[in-house]
Amino acid sequence: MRPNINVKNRVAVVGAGLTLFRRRLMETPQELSWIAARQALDQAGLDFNDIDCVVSGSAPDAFDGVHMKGEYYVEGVANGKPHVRVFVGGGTGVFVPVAAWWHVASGLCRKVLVLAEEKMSSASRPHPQAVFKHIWDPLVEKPLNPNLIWIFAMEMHRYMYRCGVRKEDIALVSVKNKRNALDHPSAQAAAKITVDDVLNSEMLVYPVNRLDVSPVSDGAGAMVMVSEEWANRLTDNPIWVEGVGFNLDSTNWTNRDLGYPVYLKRAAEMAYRLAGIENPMKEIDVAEPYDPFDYKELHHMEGLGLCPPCKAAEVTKEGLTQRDGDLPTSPSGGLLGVGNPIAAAGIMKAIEIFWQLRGEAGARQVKKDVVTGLAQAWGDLMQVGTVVVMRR
Amino acid sequence: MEVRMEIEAYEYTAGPLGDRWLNEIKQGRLTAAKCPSCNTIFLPPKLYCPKCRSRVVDLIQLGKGKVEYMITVGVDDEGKELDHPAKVAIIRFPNTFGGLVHYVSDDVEEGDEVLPEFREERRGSITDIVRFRKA
Amino acid sequence: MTDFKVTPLSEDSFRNAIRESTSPRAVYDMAPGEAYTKFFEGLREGKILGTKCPSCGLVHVPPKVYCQYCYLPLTQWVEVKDEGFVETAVVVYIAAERERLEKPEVVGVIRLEGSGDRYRYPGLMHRICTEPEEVKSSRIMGVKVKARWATERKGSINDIECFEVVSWK
Repeated sequence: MRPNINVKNRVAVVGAGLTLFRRRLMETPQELSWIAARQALDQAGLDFNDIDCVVSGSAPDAFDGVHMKGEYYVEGVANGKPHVRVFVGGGTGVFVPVAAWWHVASGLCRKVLVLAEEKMSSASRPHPQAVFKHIWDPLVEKPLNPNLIWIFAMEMHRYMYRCGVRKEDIALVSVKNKRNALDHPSAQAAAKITVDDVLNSEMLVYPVNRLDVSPVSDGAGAMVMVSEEWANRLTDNPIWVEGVGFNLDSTNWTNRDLGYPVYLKRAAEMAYRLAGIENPMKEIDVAEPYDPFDYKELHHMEGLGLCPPCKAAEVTKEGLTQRDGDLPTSPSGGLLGVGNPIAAAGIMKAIEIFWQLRGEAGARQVKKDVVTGLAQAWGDLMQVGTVVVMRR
Repeated sequence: MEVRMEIEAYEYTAGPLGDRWLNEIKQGRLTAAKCPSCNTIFLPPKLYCPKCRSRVVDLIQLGKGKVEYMITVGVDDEGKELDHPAKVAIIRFPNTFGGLVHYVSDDVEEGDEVLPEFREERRGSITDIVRFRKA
Repeated sequence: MTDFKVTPLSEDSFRNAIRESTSPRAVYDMAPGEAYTKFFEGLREGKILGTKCPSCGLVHVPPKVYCQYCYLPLTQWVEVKDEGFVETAVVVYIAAERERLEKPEVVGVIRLEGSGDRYRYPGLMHRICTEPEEVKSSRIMGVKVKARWATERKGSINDIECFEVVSWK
């Protein structure tokens, strides 16, 4: 399928902001949104009054516990402006810059504030996990009393079985990402751990141990995306959003092979076509594949075509995905290290690519010269892929 | 097929300034936020100014409020008839942006000046104010 | 410059912070619709029913009134064997609300026989009556299993107690 997309304006990112990610923050969702937006605007050299449109994203209302959360959290950011909130499950955080892209690319808006917020801690008792009980099919799945981790464990085991990958190979992703996060000022779960620490951590649902999983978090992130004309006015160092992709597979996750993420392959193909990328293995210099679980980074690298199917564990073991490797992945520290306030975690990954391409990632800056980068997220019942490709 | 919401309880924090504002109410004082940048006084207090969107850190004491609109409510949130109809009002304060929604005593009419009536036992909540009564 | 700091709360400082609390009381009543109603009636009789797509031939279990690949209406009902192969399996140690289970439970996805290709197939998530060790060694993967039916059935996915191993590879 060739996307029939009319691009009127090139789109650039000119600023970004990110709050701390923590298990509990005192600030309200409105305040977290305002803080992240204020940071992004400061970096872009703009004020709220300069913004034409606001595009935001957040996970289900049932986390923050305000059942019109989109309109609620943007109060300090979007009053009097066109605003839309987008939602595609865990894929939301990367879908927010995707949706902001078409606001600018179409010529509709010139300066867009791009925001993602999550306050999972409000769903206080018994645990924010309980919200996830409501993503299952209420008639044929929910009566079995599933835990969210079931579905990931099922996918992980299918992937291990199909590709001949061992748990200790997968644990290397957690070790790498948590270590990378030691250099991230927002990080909640940064740590120096070993493969054995992962394997010996609490068994939740075999094959998933506690340290295979990202934490529950509060946080917010924001970007400013503008047209080419404004990008050239505002900065000498714009980062261009050159490709966007998104794709949906069926909710019936029990009816397809979980070993390979076809929906992501399709989303990536869309983004690559727009960006003119023919060989992602050669052309993508740095990537932030979505890593709420460690095996997911591997699964997603394969779906993104950053390595052949079933080869991501090998590539990781060889050290190629380290910050000084040929294909640095999750240099931010990812969700495993920085934390997972759902939508905010996705935008954090897009922001990391922005900072990496600008050369502003500080201690996290990858060793090689990077021109093209990619951020990706995934969500719902193993069915949504969202991809954004950026260039310096 | 019956399905229940499994979240037993949400617990909302009020943010750094909201926390201080509710603590003031706990002490029996009704305050509002004041923006250090554009001097806007506003309710309810938040970390950012609703006018100029600067960061806000200060609270100031409020005096009398004024009932702007008022309704009389005959049923509760499940549609059951109340024994005693309740009066609910939007209360504004002089030179203050925003306001409060709260109960008012039976004799209050639109346009009346009002003051908060605090409970004896307070925990730091908007419901530490029982109602607003005629000043 | 703006002050961007936020305020992390430890469990203790959270307990001491001012909070408001609400408890949702919503009870949802889900109508199963045409396809699931017939599916549940089938389960009550000890049968697994699906709908077959006239175009791609895929049998949909759980059944749908449309084919999600061809977008065609589905009207042909077929009974599917209550046997299949373990597509994936896991060992559950924690309950839905995160507390630890007394006894771990094996659940997985069963690829039912009758149609499908390498990527898609009729399938059900369900309990598998086997030992955790068989999952951890991956011995359970691809093994043939058969539904163990409850003696008292009421038209629910739980009318199947679990899937049992028919024969080890």
